[in-house]
Amino acid sequence: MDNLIEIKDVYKSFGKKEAKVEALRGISLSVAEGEMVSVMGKSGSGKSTLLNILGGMMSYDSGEYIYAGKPVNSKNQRELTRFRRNEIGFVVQYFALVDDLNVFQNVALPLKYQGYSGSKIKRMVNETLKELEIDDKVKAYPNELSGGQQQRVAIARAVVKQPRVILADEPTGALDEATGEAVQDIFRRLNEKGKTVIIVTHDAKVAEKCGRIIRLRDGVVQDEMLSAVTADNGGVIL
Amino acid sequence: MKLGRKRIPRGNFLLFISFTAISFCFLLIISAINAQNRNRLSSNNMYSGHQKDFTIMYSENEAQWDEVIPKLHEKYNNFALYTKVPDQEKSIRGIYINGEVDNPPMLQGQYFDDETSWTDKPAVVIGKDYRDGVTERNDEMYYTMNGIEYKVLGVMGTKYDSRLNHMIMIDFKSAVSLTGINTSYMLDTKKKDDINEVGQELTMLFSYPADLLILLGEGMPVSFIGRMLSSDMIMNTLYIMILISFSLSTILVTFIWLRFRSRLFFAFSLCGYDSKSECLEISKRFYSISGIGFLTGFIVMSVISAFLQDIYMSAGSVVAAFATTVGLGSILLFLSYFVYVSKSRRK
Repeated sequence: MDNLIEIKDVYKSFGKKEAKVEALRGISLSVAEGEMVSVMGKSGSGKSTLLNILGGMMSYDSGEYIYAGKPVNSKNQRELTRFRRNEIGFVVQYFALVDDLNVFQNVALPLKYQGYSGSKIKRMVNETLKELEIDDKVKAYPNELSGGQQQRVAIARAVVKQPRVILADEPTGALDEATGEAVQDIFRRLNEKGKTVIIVTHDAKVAEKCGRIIRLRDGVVQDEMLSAVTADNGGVIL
Repeated sequence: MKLGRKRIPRGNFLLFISFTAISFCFLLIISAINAQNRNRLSSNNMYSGHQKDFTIMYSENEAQWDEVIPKLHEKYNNFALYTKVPDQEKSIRGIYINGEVDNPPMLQGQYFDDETSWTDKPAVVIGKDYRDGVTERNDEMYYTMNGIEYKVLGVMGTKYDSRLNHMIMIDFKSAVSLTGINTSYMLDTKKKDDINEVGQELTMLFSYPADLLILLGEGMPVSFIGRMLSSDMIMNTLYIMILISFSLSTILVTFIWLRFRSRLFFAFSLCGYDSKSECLEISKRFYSISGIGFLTGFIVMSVISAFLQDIYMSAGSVVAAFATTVGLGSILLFLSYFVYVSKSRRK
């Protein structure tokens, strides 16, 4: 498989002088198109920073980020915004749904200002909600939904514009085990349909269900391994 | 907090409450200041408080004002001349006005200006108690007194009972023709400091054989404290302080709202919104909430002004309050937005 995402020797730090914290210290990794990867590591290991850089939410200090064979210029906000809008779907731990918008309006958010007609937006949102089995809650507000349902809505919002990559930061962190597994299944199904999925997690069970596990430590890749699932299918645990 | 099924974000609720309170207070303050000005006018018999009375004697030329008024008009601005017209039933006063002086509250039409107060066509501004005596012809109103028909320029008065409601102001030329030139007058100016200068000029213009008697002050320089203690200065200072505190509270409210809505910004970022789209979405929310807040404040104030006679809300004060609240809010919204966004992006 060709690499869709490739970062080389990327550095990222926060703060200045004595307060400076180096979140990423020359990290390099690559993710192939259609792969499902989990990123693990302790708090402060740089997982979320890495995810934010991959998703164009954050610029990096130095290094190189190549997406689909082209460099991503993290200094150009307009370019980063366009990249994020067209290529990336984000899912976060606490869903980040807008309280005063209903399910339909929340999911339709990424399609606004994109030149789609009202009927096309309606069709795209309804199809996505149906796919995620939450189409019966179309008029509900976030406060009327359970955690699992809210995360489904957040996933629907991430995938409605059909991005090539889905980035999830602790997507099951705020859910109970059973609901978390159901959400994990959704990511697996999306991956089977060709989406590249990168999940940041603390949970080994979640990581095991991904094809590859990347462990970070102090801002660099500590090790990489194929998960048991991949190994069972003929892969090799590294 | 919930509205129906919808959960109202805390920031929105706070913004709504703040704009309701701010617009209500602002309208109340403007109305109170206006009411105070009107009360001052009414209790001072329409004068500013620093007016000077004078008498003309021994003038042999009944048309001498025809020579004096154009010269005064040319040389000075923002002053008024009054003369009382004797009448057994009504309080009638003649007025010549040039530039700006304190005007009474008008319920209808216009007050006098330099043209309508010095004219060959008799003109009148009536207190609201005399409305019934008005006749209409060719879309114009007329009021007849002592056999003279005056064109009605406007109707003055207050909602509550005041002297203004039963006063009649007529143009200066008509008044002088009724009283004769040798009578008592009142000189008033917008600025207290100007009254001596205009008074001295009047004394010079009415030369022998006419004699103008006016008691002018020494024109002592007024200290800063003295100015501060004068009612106008206190009101202006109060007004400026209110505006400053209003601005500070609007800054605070807008900033708090943006902070409370950080989740919304985050959602926009996740969805790949550019700054233009973000701005549009934030503005839509800000204006709808602040607009509803302003409207609520306005309704509350309208209800209060309907029941309290002292409080009168003019269209001007509503426009001023609206422009200040939403205008200032807009500037702050965009400034805070760009500071907030650039800060969060730097992070």
